[in-house]
Amino acid sequence: MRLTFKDVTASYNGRPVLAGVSLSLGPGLWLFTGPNGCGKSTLLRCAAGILRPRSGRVRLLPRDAREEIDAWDDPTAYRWHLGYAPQELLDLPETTAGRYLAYLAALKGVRPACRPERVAAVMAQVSLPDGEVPAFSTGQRRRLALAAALLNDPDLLILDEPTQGLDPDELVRLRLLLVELAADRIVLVATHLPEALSGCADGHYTITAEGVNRVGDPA
Amino acid sequence: MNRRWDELIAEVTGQAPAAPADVPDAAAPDAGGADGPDRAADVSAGCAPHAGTTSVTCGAVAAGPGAACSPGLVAASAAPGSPRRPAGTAGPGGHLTPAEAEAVLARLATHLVPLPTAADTEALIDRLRPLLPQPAPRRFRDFGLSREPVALLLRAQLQHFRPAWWLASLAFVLLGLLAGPSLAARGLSPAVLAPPLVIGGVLYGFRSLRGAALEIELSCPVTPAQVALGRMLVPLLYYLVLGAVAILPVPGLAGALSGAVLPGQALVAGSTQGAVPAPTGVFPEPAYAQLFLGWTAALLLFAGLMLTLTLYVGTATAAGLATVLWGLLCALHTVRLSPFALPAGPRWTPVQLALLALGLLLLATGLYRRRLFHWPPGREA
Amino acid sequence: MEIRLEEVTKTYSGGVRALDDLTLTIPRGMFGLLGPNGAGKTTLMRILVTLLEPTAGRITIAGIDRLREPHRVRQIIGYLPQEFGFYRRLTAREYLEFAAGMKGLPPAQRRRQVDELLVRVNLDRDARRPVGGFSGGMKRRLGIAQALLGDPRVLVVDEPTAGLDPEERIRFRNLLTELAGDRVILLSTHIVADVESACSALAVIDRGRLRFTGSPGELARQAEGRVWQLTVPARDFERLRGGLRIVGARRVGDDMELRVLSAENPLGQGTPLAPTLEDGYLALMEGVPA
Repeated sequence: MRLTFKDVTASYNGRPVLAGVSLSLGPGLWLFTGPNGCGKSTLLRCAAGILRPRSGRVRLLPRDAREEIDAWDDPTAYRWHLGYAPQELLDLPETTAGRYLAYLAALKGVRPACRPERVAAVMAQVSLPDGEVPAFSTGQRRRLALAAALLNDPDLLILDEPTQGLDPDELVRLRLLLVELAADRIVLVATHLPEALSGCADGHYTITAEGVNRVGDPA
Repeated sequence: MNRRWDELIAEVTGQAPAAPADVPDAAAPDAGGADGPDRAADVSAGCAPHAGTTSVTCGAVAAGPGAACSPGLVAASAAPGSPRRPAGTAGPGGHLTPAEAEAVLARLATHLVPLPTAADTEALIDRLRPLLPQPAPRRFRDFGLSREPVALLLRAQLQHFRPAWWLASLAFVLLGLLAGPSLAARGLSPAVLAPPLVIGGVLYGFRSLRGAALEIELSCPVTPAQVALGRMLVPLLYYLVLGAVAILPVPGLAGALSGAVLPGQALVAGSTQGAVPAPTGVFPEPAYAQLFLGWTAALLLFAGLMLTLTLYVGTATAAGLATVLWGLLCALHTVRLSPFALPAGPRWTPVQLALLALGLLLLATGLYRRRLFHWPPGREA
Repeated sequence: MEIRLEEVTKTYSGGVRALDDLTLTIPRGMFGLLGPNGAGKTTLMRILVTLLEPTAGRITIAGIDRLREPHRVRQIIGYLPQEFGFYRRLTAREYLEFAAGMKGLPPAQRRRQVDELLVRVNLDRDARRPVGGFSGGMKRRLGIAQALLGDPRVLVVDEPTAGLDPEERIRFRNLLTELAGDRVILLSTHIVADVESACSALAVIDRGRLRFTGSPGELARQAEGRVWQLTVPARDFERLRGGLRIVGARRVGDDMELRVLSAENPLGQGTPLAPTLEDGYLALMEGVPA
């Protein structure tokens, strides 16, 4: 199982932010930190297949597969293996968490017969009670996005600022969940709170104007 | 070996061991060769490990004397090469009498090991299981995901449309058709009201497709065009039905409402400027059908337009552009070039059909597999 | 120079008690307010800055009775809420001058204060740029500048570092520390690290009740002797989670290195660790029934 960036160059809103980034990641928990506007979210968006790099390739080798899937040559196949939680907070008009997740489950290809059970399972996994989304707190919205990303049991999990808005108890729960998931998945996490997760990460990369660098092994 | 056995027998039975001289030569090949393997086979057959246990017990011993094992034991006690005596007959050199055999078996029975019960076996397996390599638990994605192309998920899309919207759309259509006669007076068909309905419906249905929710949907194995088309189908089908109910007269209903003027009839009266044809049979009169065609064509054309535009410039801009186009087409009415005119003349129907086909073509872009990638904020830099 | 709260209660219609009999003294300097989401921190702050009235209790701010003389309180208090809007087209300077006007500062003083504050928060070079183009950190600094108009004795700051990258966070914390001098700065946050480095005293609030007040060191000591490092085979992790309070985990080969909160040595195999502020907070909240 491997995610490979090869010479990825990308811009966002007209500004160039990534230049020739090459990276290869196997299963585990990988942190990405760095100043705002230097390409953290852009890199994650490229990996999530929603922002097309100007040049370069993003490829995923899923578990038990022999061939890599390119994010842009074969977008449907690539997204089967993908779960993504964006940085922006989920803001939905009147709907409940359960209904929204059931809808996304359908979009992600979960079999109709398995849907109710799967939705209940991911909600339990992130400790999210059902309720009206407009009334959710920041932490609950973060967990809803995480639950959505887990619906299709993806090999590649991409989380942008999942720590934001979480109180210390919620942070502990997130930590343990990520460690559990990272056992046999590639988990990319961008965060402004590296100290919250560095203790359990397998690797830590910083993205600055100079490029992507691996930080020495976390303590 | 035979001597030791004789001593054992003697110990058990209390008789003196047989004289060693009576024991025939062990190396008499013919007789021994013929019988030896058989006896060995008997012994081994009788003393096979009992199925399901880890200790080898002679099952026959537990069953008591007279079981399969004893003849083998008795046979083995005979020296290889000696002529076979019938079992049980006393003889020189190691043959046991039945009484002696009984005594031997009784002695052996005191060393009996109880057979394990089924519960014991299960307990043993449970203790052993953790030591074996564990198969990994099945991952949900191996059995819970469907690999077929994701359908347009109409039913799933329903959750985006709240009761207020269904009612509001109905109210709009009713109001619009109350205005029907005055429209007809200006030569306009109900089709003129279809575009704003579509634009409004798309704006409403797509209202949550922004920010985080949009990014999440774009990361699903559905193309943005499919997402857009799926969202659009609910209002589209609803408006088709509303239009049909309002425009087409329903046989029987007309009779029940005799005296009241149905909106469609008012328009038909406006267009044909004659007596209102009474609805007969199952199929509506041509005039009604034409009005419905006009409605459908306008609906599909603007739906297709909104879909394609949204994929390129986003919902808000698409709505703006579509509204401007609608205004233009209305303005063209003054020069008698509008597609929203009442059915008149031979060219009307082919034009409407062409517009309908164009609308369907635009909508069909939602079915293409290729990602149409111009959907903000995921703009290609 | 302190804030004194006595038996302050805030009950919303429907019976929800956002604050329950809260008694607390907030001294001069940086004071941290920690607690889970929904604990009542924002309610408390809004009461202090006179945006909300308490249902019961007494509050004194720098000797002024908050309930009897709210207008005087408003003159000495500055507030930086978590969400605040800007007029995107205004430049930083224009925005501050507008805010100064809203606060009722006499025109003579406005210019001078705005200039000083822009320098203070390091935005003087960007003073003529429209606010809409500011980064998150810059917006926060502008918000602080706005809160400092009129030179308030008390500064109330709600989750100021949310969304800031680590460098911006450190710079912002330093700015606050500079300002703490002879003011009271009440800093409400989820981020334990912020409190650890900047605050001399703190309080923990949960469901409207005060759970702890003291120094960061004292909070960390709540977990003294209760933090352990335990290494177990990875396949036992799932099974142990139910029985042990695991607060951190790391995969090392086939094993998992766990950080556990426990009164006794877990499984008899743990190595004791020095408690961090986060451990102290978690240990404190552990005793609370759900």
